[in-house]
Amino acid sequence: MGNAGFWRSGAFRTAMLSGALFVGLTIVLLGIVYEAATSTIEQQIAASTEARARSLEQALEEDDDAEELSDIVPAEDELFRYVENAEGRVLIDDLVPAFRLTGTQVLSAAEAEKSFEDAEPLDDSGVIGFGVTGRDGGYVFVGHDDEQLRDLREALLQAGLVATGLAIVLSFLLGWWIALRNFRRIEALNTVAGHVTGGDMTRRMPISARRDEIDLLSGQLNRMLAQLESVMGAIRQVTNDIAHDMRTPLGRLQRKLEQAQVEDDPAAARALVDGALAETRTMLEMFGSMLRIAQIEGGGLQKHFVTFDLSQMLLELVETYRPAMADGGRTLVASIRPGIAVVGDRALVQQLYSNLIDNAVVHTPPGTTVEMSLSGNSADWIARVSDTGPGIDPEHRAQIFDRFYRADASRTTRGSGLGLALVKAVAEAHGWSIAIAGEDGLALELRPAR
Amino acid sequence: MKILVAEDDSETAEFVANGLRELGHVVDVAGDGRQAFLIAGSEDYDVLVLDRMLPGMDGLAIIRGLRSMENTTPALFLTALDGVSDRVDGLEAGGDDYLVKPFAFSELAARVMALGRRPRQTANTQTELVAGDLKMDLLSRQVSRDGKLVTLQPQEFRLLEYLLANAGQIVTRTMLLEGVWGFHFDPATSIVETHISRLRAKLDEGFDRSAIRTVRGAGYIIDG
Repeated sequence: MGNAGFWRSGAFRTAMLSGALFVGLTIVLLGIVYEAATSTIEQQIAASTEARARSLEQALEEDDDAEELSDIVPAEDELFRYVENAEGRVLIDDLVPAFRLTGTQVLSAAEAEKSFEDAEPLDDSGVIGFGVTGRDGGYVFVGHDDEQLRDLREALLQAGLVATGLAIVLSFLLGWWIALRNFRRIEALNTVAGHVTGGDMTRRMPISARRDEIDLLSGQLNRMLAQLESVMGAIRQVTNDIAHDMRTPLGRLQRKLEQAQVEDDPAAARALVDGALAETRTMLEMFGSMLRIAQIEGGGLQKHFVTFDLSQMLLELVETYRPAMADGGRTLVASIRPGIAVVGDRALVQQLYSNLIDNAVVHTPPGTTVEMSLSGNSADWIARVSDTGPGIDPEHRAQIFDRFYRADASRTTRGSGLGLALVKAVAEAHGWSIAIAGEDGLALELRPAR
Repeated sequence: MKILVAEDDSETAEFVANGLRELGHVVDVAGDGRQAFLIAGSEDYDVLVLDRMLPGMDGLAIIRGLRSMENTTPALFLTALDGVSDRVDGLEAGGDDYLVKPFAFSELAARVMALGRRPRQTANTQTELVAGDLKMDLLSRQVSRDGKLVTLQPQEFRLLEYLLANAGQIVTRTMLLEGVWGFHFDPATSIVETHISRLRAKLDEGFDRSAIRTVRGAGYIIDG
């Protein structure tokens, strides 16, 4: 795993961004809690001091006895009372304001220092209190030190710091873990893609049990890779076949041209050139067949499909081939049920059946009988081309539809080895199946696939 | 005949043009599609030989344009595209014949001649084909040589009909495969040769001179 790649990965960035957002939100939330809690406590203290100050002020209007007043609001820890009657006599002086503080007062330690004559009892605390001047000129102040608030603030701050720290650490760890997990999965895909690019078409993307979007993507990529692999395989096969099978006629062509170059007898030279031309025709024919097969396999033929009378076409073909086959010592017999119509590309279907007959002619000795039959009806028909020739070894049966396959390895028989490959391509493009049948000789059966 | 060759590959163009000139034709060459379209539209040619893929304007567009202007000059497409649908596309656009590159010059020459001799409006009224002592009645489907009736199989009749329709010109093996049997490929079995020899045997019975002449390396001809 490339670390630089990880730190720059989108997953890591996203994780860090959401982590930062989470931490930010935590801080804002804690700030709100802090504010709400402290102001609530502050208000509670302020309200309680106000209530006490007002009750002292009311009592003061009736009677300015210090002891009675002290009974109404008894002395308490952290509670500071100051009462002064109309004449300016101080009755209670837990803490002496330096000047008359009226209304709710929230004083920090520093402010309190300045606001009271002697701030010693405050012990460096702030004061929350309420001061009120009576109608008759008396003055009351009740304060409470803010130690409770300070403790709360401290506790909240501490909790906040711990929570924020935890949030930072946790979100980083979680983000890192998620990012790493995703990064590793992407890295795995990347590695596979690298191998595939490097030429190993058999590699496939890993798929986890999670079935999430990465797995869906991997599945799709794997299907694409499988398709590519088969296409590449086919291309490689064809390329090899071309290299292999074109060399022979090219070699013969070269030899004939070289001989013609040094041949003194014009008639013999001309015969050699004729031979060379025949070789080029063979090669062009092979190229044509290969291109045609490739095009048929590529699909898209349906736009030229028409309905036509297959029975009629086969009868015509039998008439076309019979004289040439008779000259070669072979018999062509036909048993064709009339009126069977199919939907397809007329020219290609014609070539399909011609190739089947050609195949039977090329691979059988003179004296062979070739039979062409068509039975069934337009919906379910069977066309069969069979011969009484030597047939084909069971071990080679699967290969006869392969490009350039020829049963005799010496390749001395005529034909490009593409005839049956084209037959198969055309049959498949029409949704027909082709199968090898028959025990004696070779029989090829064509019918609509079910 | 006056022939326009539109082909962007100058070597092929010269090869075709020189070959046709040697046969006594007047040949103009156009190297791009627009030029070919302008010349073909303004001058009167007997045959157009058009490459399907020309710079500027492709062969299909040229033919569509000419046909929409009611120019019926016969056109032969030359193409490297031998797809199943390419031929159909070419003929549907208004082309009259189609030849896949690379081709033998004899094949091109034979097709150009056949196109040039083709009547502009197909004469459906023609009921008889005559060439020398051969006579074919298209209605009664009877064939006679020097007045002597010859009985032919349906495919032999079609073969002779094609040869007679092109009497005086060379007809190649590929033209016969396409025109008589509808084969756009070359079968491994020698269909053409066998049918020609059967037809010949029937026509020549009792005559010294063969009705159908073989032109070495090119094709067959019935002298008109």
